[in-house]
Amino acid sequence: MNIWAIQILNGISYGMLLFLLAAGLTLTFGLMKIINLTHGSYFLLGGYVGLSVERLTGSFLLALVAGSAAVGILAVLTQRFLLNRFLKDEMAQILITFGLLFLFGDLALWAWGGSTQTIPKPSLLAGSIPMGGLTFPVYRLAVVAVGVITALFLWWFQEGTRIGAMVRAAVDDAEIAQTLGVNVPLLMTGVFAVGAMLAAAAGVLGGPVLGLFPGADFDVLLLAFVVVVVGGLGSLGGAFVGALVVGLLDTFTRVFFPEFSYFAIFAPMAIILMVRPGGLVQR
Amino acid sequence: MKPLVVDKLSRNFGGLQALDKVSLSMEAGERRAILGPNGAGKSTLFHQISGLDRPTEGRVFLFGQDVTAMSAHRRPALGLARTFQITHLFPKLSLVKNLLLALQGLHRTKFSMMRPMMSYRPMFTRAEELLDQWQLLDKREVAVQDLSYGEQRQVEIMLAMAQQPRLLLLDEPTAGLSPAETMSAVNLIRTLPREVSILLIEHDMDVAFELVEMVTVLHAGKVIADGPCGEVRGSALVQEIYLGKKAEKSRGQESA
Amino acid sequence: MKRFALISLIATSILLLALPAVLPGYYLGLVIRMLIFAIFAMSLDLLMGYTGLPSLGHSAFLGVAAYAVGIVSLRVSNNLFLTLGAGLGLASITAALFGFLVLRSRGPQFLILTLSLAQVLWGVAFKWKSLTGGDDGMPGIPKPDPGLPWDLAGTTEFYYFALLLFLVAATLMYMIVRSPFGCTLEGIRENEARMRALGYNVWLHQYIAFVLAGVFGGLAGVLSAYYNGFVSPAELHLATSAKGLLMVALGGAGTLFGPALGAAIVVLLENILSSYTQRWLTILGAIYVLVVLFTPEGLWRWIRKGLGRWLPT
Repeated sequence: MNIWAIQILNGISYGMLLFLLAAGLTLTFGLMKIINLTHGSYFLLGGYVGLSVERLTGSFLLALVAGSAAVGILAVLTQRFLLNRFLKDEMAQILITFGLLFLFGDLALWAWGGSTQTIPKPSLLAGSIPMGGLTFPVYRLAVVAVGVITALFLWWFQEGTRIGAMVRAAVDDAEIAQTLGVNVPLLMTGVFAVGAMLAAAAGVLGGPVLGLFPGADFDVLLLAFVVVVVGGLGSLGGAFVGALVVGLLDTFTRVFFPEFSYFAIFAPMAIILMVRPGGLVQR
Repeated sequence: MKPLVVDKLSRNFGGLQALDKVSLSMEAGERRAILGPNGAGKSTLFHQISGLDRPTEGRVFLFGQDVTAMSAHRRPALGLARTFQITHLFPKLSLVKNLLLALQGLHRTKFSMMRPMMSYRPMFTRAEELLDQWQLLDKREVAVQDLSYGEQRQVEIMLAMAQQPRLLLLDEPTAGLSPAETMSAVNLIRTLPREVSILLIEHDMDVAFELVEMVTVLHAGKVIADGPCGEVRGSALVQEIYLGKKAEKSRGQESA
Repeated sequence: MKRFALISLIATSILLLALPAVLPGYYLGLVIRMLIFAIFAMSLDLLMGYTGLPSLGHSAFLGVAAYAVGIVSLRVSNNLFLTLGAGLGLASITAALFGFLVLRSRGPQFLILTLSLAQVLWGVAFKWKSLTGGDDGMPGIPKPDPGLPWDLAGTTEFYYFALLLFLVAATLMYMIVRSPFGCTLEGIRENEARMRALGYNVWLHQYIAFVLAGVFGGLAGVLSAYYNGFVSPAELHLATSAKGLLMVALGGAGTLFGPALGAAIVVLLENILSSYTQRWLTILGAIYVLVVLFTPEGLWRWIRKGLGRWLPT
């Protein structure tokens, strides 16, 4: 029972990290129909920048802010100068974002080295809480909390605010939204930046528990894509559900069936896509 | 044999009743127009007949066969061809290749991998004949995306006619064409053999009445009138629906 | 074929045949790698450039064929016809199976689906140590034994073997794209709905194209296993599929020989770059971006503008 509870918590907290990643990806695709493979880099770079800032200042919070901000700026630059010209060209997007994935990944290797590194947990969240006869690490609970709060915030933002309404309008029909006075290009850059920052935040938050290493960008990208496509491209709700499912599946299979963990993720995903090509929650 | 029978066809899009128990039937060689304001369900009906979409209720019969469940790509073999409201061509391919694809559609050669396309001389000759008929022979190597809109609309009709159909569905064939181009298209449609039945969606009533004898009028997914041109034209109900349109049209002609 | 194109084809063939006389072993080996990836890239172009189905899972076919060769040659027999049959056979079965699974989707879903299927295979190769050697791979694959008086152990001999397979593959693929079937694929790429309205069974044509692309991709895998003498999960990884994508884009999707050119350039670059700098992946990544920005239609089409008469496509 003990193992199960811990693994469930691990799975859910992992799922929340995946949600942060997937949220940005799904919004980017939903709004701009851009396939952004560089998203994995945002995770890794955010984490690494956070790592350095934490080493320098000792503050986890500062690390989080710095990581997100740095990646946010990078993302805006790539979107404005590279991706914006290829809004209708899928192949171009794949190639550019893939190239950047390689590029950033290699530069990160150069700057931070090849060994796995972790960000120390903030002292406030470093302990364990006894609950119902078991002890749970506070940090993972905090990650879950962050994930849920972010999800709720994004949901409220999308459904309850004017800007959110503008985003939804632009997703439905960018041209018409523009004629109605919505500054669609600014919105797109904004959404892109927010998505990237969420990914970076996931990198920093994941730093203590997942570690940062070359290749993490690929791994995480794959899973984020699985979540997004299974959840339904453009759907935040789908991303949330998908992330939980993938997070739990991945955690459990790694622990109990390590031989098949890859298979266990991709096979159900392939099945879901074959049955419902539009994803679980279709727009 | 009746080329087309539509029997109480309904199509519901999650709450929106696009077609509501639509029934119509055509005799061999008949020329019929489907009229109706925007959103009346005309193109939806075409998609049902051609198989790109399936009904929620009702049936479609082509040449006596119940094709309601038949996939779209198997219907042309029965003699059906159609054009699309938004031009559906092969943009990066040359004009002659576009035609060749239309001519090849129902032949086994489309699976042939070993001989070059060029070697099928009879098809080439036929393609060039058609191009000549429509005075586009000199543009045969031009990529279709580089043709003018009017020319593209003409190619849209050409592809359907190349299939030598027994039932031809034309979805707003003259949309966006200049008066000269419209006349040319109308004349070419007229050259179709009498045995070919034509079902036409048109906004331009003058064009429609020049080409057809029978009319079906749709409004909000329902058939509100069905019969010979003169009869429907004279119907008060139809006039009311089109009154706005007619007034608009004559205003348009004055300022043109 | 046009006369000038025929001339350049003959000239190229003569050049390729004479190469072992002028190139030292190391560089000849490089050309062999170029030929292997040229086959891979052309097969991907069949699917991507001609049928309009960009795939991120093409490495699956190269990989399974390579592993088939590894397993059969090391454990059963190194007879070339047996291993070639096993490699191509497994690749076609994989393609036949995957084709059923992936052709329901398009665009991004198709990419993810093909990617995941290839990754599943990667995961299997990685974990199934007893069959595939896992992460360590399968070393020690001998040079193929054609059961004939000549053996293929030397670089020069292997080069001619690879060249022969390349020429056969290129010729077959060329015939396919020039045929009515090839024209049909282009029609499907340009407008599926219109093709259906014309009476084409779009799914069937796509499926056949998918399997053909898989078989030729498998051929590249067979050569790869024999040339390297080694198979590892890397053959199945996303990075290999992505590299194929790059080669096709660089050369020009839908031109068939453009991707072959793209393959040669990428192999050359990788080689040169990795011997000069540790940061060759950075440069490779930059190349991906530069290709899109400066040669969006691919090099082949750019060359064709000036030298069109000399090119077969």
